[in-house]
Amino acid sequence: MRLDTGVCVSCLLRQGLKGGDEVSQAFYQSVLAEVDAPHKSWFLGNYEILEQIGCGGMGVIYRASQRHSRRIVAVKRVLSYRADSHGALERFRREAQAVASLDHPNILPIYEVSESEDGLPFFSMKFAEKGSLRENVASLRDGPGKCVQLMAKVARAVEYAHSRGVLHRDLKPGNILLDDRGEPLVSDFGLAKLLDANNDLTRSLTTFGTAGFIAPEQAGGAAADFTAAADVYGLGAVLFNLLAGRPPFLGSNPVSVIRKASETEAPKLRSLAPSLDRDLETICSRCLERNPSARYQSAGDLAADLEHWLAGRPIVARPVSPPARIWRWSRRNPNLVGAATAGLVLGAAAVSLFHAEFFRASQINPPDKTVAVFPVSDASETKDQGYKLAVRPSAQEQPGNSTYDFYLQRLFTDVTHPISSTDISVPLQNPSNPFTVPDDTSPGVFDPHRADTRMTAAPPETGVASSVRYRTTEAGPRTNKITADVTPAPPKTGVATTVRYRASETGLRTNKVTAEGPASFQGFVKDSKGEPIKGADVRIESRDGKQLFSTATTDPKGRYISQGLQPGVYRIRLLVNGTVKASILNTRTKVDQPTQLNFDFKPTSQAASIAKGGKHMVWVPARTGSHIGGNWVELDDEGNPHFDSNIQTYNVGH
Amino acid sequence: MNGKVGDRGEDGPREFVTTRWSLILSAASLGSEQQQARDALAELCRSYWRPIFLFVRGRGYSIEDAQDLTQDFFVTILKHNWLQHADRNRGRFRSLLLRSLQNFLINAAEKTQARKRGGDVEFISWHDWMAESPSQLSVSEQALESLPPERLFDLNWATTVVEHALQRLREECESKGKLWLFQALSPHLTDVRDEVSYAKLSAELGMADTSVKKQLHNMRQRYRSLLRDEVSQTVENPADVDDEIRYLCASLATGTE
Repeated sequence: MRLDTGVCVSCLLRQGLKGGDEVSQAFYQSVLAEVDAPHKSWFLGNYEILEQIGCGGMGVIYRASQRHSRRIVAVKRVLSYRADSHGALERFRREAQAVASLDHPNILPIYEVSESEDGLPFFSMKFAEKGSLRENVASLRDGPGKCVQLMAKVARAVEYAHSRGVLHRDLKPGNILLDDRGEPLVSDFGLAKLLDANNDLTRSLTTFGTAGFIAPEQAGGAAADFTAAADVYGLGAVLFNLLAGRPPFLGSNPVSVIRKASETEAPKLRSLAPSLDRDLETICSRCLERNPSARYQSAGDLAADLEHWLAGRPIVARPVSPPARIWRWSRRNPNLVGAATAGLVLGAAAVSLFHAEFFRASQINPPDKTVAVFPVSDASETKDQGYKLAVRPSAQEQPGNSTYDFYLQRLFTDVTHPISSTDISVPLQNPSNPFTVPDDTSPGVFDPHRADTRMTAAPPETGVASSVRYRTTEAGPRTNKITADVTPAPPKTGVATTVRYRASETGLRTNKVTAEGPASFQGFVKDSKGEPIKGADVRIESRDGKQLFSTATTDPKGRYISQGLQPGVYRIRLLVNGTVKASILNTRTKVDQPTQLNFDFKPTSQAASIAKGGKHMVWVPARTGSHIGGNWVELDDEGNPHFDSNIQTYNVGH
Repeated sequence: MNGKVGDRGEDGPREFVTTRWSLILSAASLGSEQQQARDALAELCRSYWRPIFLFVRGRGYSIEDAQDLTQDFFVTILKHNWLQHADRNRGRFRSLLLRSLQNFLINAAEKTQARKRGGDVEFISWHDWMAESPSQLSVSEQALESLPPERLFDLNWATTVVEHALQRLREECESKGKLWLFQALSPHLTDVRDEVSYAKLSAELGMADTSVKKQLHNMRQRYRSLLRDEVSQTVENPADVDDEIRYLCASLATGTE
């Protein structure tokens, strides 16, 4: 008995009885990869397959030429054994079914669905000349306007799909293609859910999208819970990626990324790209809200705001209201609420920034309820210090009452530094709960980007305790006086400063730090095997990198020490063989002891046990065993890694 | 590290292999209803629907009735705790399935006569099966009539095993952009060394002789691993793979004269 190909079935079976090593898939693939013969074209139905342009978990995509018209198309084909065969076919059908119902200039059209001679289905679709956004992120990054324009079109296409009852559920840069004119085409509806299809099969399938771009509820929830808001999240994540050059959440593996997206707030866009417009940050933040109902209610709403922005009109979205933020924070940190302790600082900048936010908010959405205190929701304003100012209800008070505590929060972390005895009094003339922006507040005159509104909060270790009183005794934003009384710090920090700020004063004001005691950095530099690296340079520079204070070189034991520094905030660069390997922005010296800063090229899993005490930088390779791509992370005392925008990573070819 | 599964470290323990069938059996003996075991059973049923379908056809049922009965049979064994009631003297998946199918058809014959079924219960749509398991082996009406159903069953079982292994091999090649290599070399998987014209193949493929030899050798080895993996999923003990292959070879020999 023979197969259609003429091969004897019995002979094929007997092959299984012959001796020899078993060959694993990985090994066989490596053997296949050795073949460098010229490419052989072959036919799949009416298509001459020219080259493979993609390969995913479910199948392959080819560039192909249609037999008679010679039209260049993309052909997508299921390889059933690459995944659970049933799931792969189901996904394939869903994609064909979803796209067949959509006809939109920014949705990649499917031309033909067919079946190859081996019985497996394939379809042909438009070939996108310029690849996907994933390959174009770098070239688009210089033009936020172009990114926004592109994403406005994508959002409109997604809005259209929603109107036809199709959720995409896997929006990511790799699924947004560009045609020869650079027009975006939404593709890969393989995870699409047909909103009106009441099919248990679709629910029981594992429908993960792509870590970094899927909405938190999509990772953990039942399929039935997904709404259009999940796609709004995806759109926001893609926009964020285009503008910031990286997805909102990073991690060493997909699970950690999904966990972060579920458990933490998305970083602020401007903390990564400070030069971008604040409105774009607001739009991104609105999309990336963890609570689906807090996002734009439709892809159309998002598209509209992007179009507003392009036209120079005010956007509809507004920064998250402080009560929501306070509530969120207190929900995340119940044990910290009310645990005010001593000793840190508050620059008056915080208050002036508050004004910026405060009146900006009122400018967008005039008389609306908001609260008299604020978080510096825009962390980029204090990014130089690596902290943002945040606020929570005072120990004995509930949200909405008049007393609040300030604290400094380490960017992108929950590490907080409480500020003792600070309170903000709600203005007497507005005792409502929370107090209301006066109707006569005139919008538009308070520009957060002007120099006179930008001040710098001092880092906590400068040890200035403060009490801030915020008064609105006069009408109108321009005449508000903001006064910060900064009281002497605890003696051991050696700082005794009183500073009085006025928002109306011009120029950048910074707390002067005049500590007497010398500060120092010390630590070790070790390679991936734990061996010391000798002769590495650790450069202590000013925060902006323009001034070099000292260079310490590691000894044969990999140790370095850099003494005689003034207490303050520095940029630390690590150079091995003259090449920069890492740059840690905003590293503070401790004033009463040497500041530990270690560099360890070991994977985090191995380094966790030696992370006690001091700042411990660990290189996390992008994949196991690689020292080419990856990130530096900071390990906390528990050995948990923290990614931080203050850590600039360079290729580590060590 | 050459990636060959057979090369285990000298002091390394022998890898414990869980086959689908051993997973199903262990779940049954524990009396538990493990989801993993249910999934494994469903996956095996999907893989081997064709021998079952053709067995039912061989019993003289029409295509439509055979489709319905095949569906019903799967639903029965998947939903009704099949192994709890099955013969405790366990055999391989293939033989136990055949015995259960025979019993099922005795009961089903009465039911089918009592009511005309409308195909109301579907394990999965018939169309899906056809697409997932296309057969390169066409069974003629004549063979259906002349061969005993048990022979048909074994013959198709053997073919299914081979087809699955070939399909996996084909997809591994295609995923590396080497479908053309599969198409050129797979007809020679069973050739003995002297039969292969390496000169002709190397000219055809634009590859060196040595390279063709290496590729064909590795393709055979990989095919062999895939075939043994397919078979191993249906036996309880991986050591039984050789026996099962011999049985299938024998059934082919007697079934197709």
